[in-house]
Amino acid sequence: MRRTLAWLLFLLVAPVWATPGPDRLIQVGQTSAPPPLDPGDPAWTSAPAATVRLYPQITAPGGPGGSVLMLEARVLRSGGRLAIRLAWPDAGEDVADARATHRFADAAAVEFAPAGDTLPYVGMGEPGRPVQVWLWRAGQPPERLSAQGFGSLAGQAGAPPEAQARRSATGWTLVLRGKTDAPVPAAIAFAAWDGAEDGRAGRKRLSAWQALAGPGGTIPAALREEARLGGDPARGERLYTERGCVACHAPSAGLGPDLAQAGGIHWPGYLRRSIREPAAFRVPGYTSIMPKLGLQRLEIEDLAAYLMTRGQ
Amino acid sequence: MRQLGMVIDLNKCIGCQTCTLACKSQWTDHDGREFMYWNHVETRPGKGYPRDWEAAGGGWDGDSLKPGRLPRLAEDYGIPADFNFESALFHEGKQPLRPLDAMQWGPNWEEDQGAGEFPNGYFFYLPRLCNHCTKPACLAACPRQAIYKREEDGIVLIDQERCRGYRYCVAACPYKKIYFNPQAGRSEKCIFCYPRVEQGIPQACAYQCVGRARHVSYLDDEAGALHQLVSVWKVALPLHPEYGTQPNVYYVPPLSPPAFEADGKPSGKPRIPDDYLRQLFGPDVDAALATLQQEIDRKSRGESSPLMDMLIAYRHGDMFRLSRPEGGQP
Repeated sequence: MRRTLAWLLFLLVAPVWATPGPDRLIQVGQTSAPPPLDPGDPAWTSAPAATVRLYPQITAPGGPGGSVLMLEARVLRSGGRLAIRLAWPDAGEDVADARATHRFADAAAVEFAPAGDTLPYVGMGEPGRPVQVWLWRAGQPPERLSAQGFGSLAGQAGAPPEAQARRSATGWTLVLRGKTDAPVPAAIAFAAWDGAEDGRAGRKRLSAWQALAGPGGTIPAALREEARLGGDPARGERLYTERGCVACHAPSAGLGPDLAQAGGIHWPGYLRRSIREPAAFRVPGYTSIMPKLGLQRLEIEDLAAYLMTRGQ
Repeated sequence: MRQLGMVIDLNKCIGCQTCTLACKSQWTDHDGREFMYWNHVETRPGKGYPRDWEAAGGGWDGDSLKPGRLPRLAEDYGIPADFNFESALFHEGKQPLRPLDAMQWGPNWEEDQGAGEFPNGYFFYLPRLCNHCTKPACLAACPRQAIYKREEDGIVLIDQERCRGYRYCVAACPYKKIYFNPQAGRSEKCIFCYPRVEQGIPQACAYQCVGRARHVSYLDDEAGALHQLVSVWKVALPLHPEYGTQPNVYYVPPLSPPAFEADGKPSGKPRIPDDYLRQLFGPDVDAALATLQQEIDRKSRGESSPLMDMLIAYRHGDMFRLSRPEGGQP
């Protein structure tokens, strides 16, 4: 009874939903003309710039290490076509070289989540929840791909996106333009590879899913439950310690994914699902050993709230 | 799983590169493969091909993969250079035949160089190809499961549809026998001539060998050369067994004439130092060399030696046992 009362009280004082961070929402600019392919086209000023953090991949072996990279993203939509302009720092230009066997090209990708109220696992999707990917590798034609988990990336029928990249002394500006599977993807995520650090496969930096803003510049209704952030991070942190989560979820333990960046690359909804039903989706490369913790609903909220503070 | 294997008798290899060209003209003469030699013959001691491959890492440390580095096209493999055929061969003058590009390395760069000082210089030839390992590091290193080992013959193949050119396999192979094709953006390797094998025809490198140095059979075929030479006589050894991949290409190690002492008399020691052969083939090489010598002596006394008969290979066709056991599924 007391618990029910506490829950009701919580519902009254907690906001219906709160964004997990300022970097999870991208305002889509609309143009009447076809969206430009040229990164320098003045039309890009009509698309608000979103600053997105790209985290070094730490879930699968072979990540690049190093620090977070800030990427600027702008999205324009017109006539069923989506154009995405990405700008990110990259100190040296590494372009595909048909006479080199040991070098890798700089690259960037955009990942699209299918419409729906549950976002796929941000790292290459998951079985049953496929993602679409546009991949650009410097010096090569862009590719249209899809994936349902690590190692499952495969070519996808249909016209590949067009790409135009511009190199400055300090980085790349890239526009990818094409038609996505879903006319309005629920969310997009980004990744960048640095050829200078042998970037390829999981040796990359990646972002969390970014919702494409709906009317009024807010999180689309379908994703509000994914974004909802209640709970008390301090209580969550105590739970995290009491339940010994760190025994597995640490790089040295290697038994569960390292959660040091959990709040930076995951959404609250994903974290709640993973705590509630650990076996429902297992991150590839890890055995399914996480027990159901038998937590109360509020405790799950607290734990998710705590994890969302990590890596932000 | 059945395993097809190959034994290469280094006492019979004359370094003629017929195997190399049989392979090249069949599989790697175009479309970005020009620099690749799925089969090549290097002179040992030497840095080999690709240059310094033994120092490039890869293989296993227990059950973990060791890191490895990617060979470079110009510096470690060698660019597929064009030659001045036109001016050297079809014009008057004394223009020698030379590559048009400045070459830094190649698949046979150190031919007949060897080691040691006169009168004790020594070298031998080491043909190398993919070992179609029982515990392939390349297969384990691929994050896309693009590499597979066939159930019917243990041949290790790269699925060209799945490969995305990440090259973890190239780094992981301690023999550096996977090549990245920069033109195709994918990695490629010796396919053990599986289209020929499926027809019961030996691999091009083995079938074309003029020295009758290569035997091919399934490891579980007790009458086959592999079983006889590897398991019964124990005179055929894997190259660098310490790499941990359990290769299925085996070598009969080279015997050598005695080294000369300072006074010009032959010593009791072989020209090729035992230590060097131990580095390549592991500690079992001593017993293998002793068995070989013992059987050579037997043969030269006019006694019978089934081992020598097998290695001599009186009948070319006897060297290859590719037909499957009766009732076996192709």
